Amino acid sequence: MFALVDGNNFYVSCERVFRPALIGRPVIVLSNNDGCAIARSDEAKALGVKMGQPWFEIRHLADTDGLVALSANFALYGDMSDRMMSLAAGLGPTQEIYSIDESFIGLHGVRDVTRRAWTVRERIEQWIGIPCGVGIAPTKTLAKLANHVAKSAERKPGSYPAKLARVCNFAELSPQEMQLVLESTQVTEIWGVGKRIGAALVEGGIWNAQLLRRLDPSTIRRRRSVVLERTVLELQGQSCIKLDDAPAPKQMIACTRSFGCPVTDLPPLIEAVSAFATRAAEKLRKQDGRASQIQVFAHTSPHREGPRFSRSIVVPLVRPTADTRLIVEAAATGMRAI
Amino acid sequence: MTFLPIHNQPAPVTDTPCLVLLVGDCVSAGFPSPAEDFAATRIDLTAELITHPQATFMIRVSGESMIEAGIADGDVLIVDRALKPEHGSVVVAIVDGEFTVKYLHQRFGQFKLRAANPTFPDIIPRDGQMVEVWGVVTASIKRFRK
Repeated sequence: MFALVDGNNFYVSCERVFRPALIGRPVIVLSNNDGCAIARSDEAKALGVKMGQPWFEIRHLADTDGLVALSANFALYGDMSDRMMSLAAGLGPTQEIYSIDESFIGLHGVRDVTRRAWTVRERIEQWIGIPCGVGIAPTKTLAKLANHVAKSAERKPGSYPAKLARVCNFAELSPQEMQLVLESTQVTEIWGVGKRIGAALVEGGIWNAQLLRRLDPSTIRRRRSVVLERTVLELQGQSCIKLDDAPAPKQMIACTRSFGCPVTDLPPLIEAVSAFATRAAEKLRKQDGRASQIQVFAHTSPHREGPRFSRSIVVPLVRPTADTRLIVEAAATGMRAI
Repeated sequence: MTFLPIHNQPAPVTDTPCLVLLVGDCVSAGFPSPAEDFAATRIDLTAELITHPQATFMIRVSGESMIEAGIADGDVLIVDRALKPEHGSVVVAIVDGEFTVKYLHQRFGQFKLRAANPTFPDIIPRDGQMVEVWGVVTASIKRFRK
């Protein structure tokens, strides 16, 4: 059995802990340099703000609907995440930190799971101030879905049975209830079903999770992919994806940013690229890694009219290094070249 | 992480140990023998002040409303959100979306926030007003010089 513990609207919830005046108001957190929305409160979602939507498209909502936009404070979110993860770890013997606001918990040998999940959820909310959803199921794919159900049942009453709000344990559902839940879930909500595969499935009449679950896994492997076969097996309750409690070291480190206004001169670009390269080198050293090549890219906003610019270059390093000076130098050379 | 809480705004606090020397048990106003100092033990200042690392934050006080509780403008408070607020606790509360530090008065079904300064009135929630306890104050750090 697995549990997925996930902070609701995580970045916004973090901000609200320290700015209680924002509770109940539509709030979004913007990416670096205030480019686009990367977290939305329920109220902001209700205003129709989309994930990743550029700020200039929704700026007018600040005047008409009191939308509050905050610049991201990643140091704070990281600190709050560490606190949340360490409390979530109390739910079971193993933990996989999946992202800044989600962790899978292995529940091997844990009894009375639902009650414990409620206790941990309440503790995270009281100690740290972050509301969470907990999904519990025999596989990671189902746990992810159970988490989606726990959140949706709370945020959108009527989408799923109200008793599944906040903490949703699929193991406690009857086969009929389970079927109903799967029928109310669009196939694109399933973990591992990407945009393209999702569209293809819908095209073929497989539009909800129940229809996907009833497919024959070996046929799926022949017709689509091993990955989708694994998803189907996981939906059927057969665990295929193990808990990854020691994440693989990163193959790639990215530091990117969009500028608040168009940049046309070289010096500010070189300056920005140097700053990113410094950050990337820091990250690299933190995980004890070395870089053998650096990619530098720049492009104009895809939301802007007029001529487009988009170029990138890969600069190989003489030998693998984590030295800030060498990495910055290579990055600046790359920038000049494009 | 360096800690620099601004006025009336909580900040997360790190739980990295900070070891200092504990000299003697209690300082009296007399002159202790310098030789006794060698019996000192190292204590972890963080462990001493913080019981629930995940639930602990700091806030710098602004104003004099708690002066008679020994909490003055500029003091830094350690706030533990894991503790259950009780009658008489010093708490950080949210009143109309703003943070405030007060005594919690919770008796016979009555809830109010009391200042430790007679010039400040009690805060009794009006109808529909949200008054909420954010955390319990466990210690105050008062600096005499830097």
